[in-house]
Amino acid sequence: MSANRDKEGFVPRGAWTFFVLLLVVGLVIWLAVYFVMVNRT
Amino acid sequence: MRGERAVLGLSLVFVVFLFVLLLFARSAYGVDLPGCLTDVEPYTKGAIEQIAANRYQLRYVAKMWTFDPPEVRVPAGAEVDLYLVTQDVVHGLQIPGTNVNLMAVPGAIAYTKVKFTRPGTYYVRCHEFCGAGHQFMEARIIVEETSPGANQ
Repeated sequence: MSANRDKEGFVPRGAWTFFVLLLVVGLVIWLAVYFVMVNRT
Repeated sequence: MRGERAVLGLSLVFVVFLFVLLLFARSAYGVDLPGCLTDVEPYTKGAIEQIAANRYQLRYVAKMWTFDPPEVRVPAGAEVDLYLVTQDVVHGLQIPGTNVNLMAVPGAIAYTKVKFTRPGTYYVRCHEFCGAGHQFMEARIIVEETSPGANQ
């Protein structure tokens, strides 16, 4: 019973943190290249 | 399931955001991808030609291990249509400090457009290893402050 209750309230915080950090790092790298490109025009 | 939908939605928003930024760069700053012309006969001699006020057509021929023409002069603010062919193996053409980055593939003409706003010497370099003299393969574009039309 208590194992089921734990399962229902489970939030994958680690996975969410990893995903959000992945997006943020990707965005930083992508924007760095983007602004180098734009500044050269 | 709810979490998966959120991840998919967030990823989609992310991709659309980056794509919109690329479209903005294209329309606001004129950043574009280089083209490749395959339906016209490749030329065999490099040259620069003024085709309008402050507009030039620069045709490069890459060959082991030089670019023809080796040096050209354009006035600051000139818009240059840059074409590139190769007479032998695959070469590359990069102008550091600009977005110019082309590949010279036998049988095709690579094309891009570049505007030289700042005076100075721009070095044209081969960035595709093409043999023993690859590191010496270089040309120069001299962007002059004044006196338009003084070409080689």
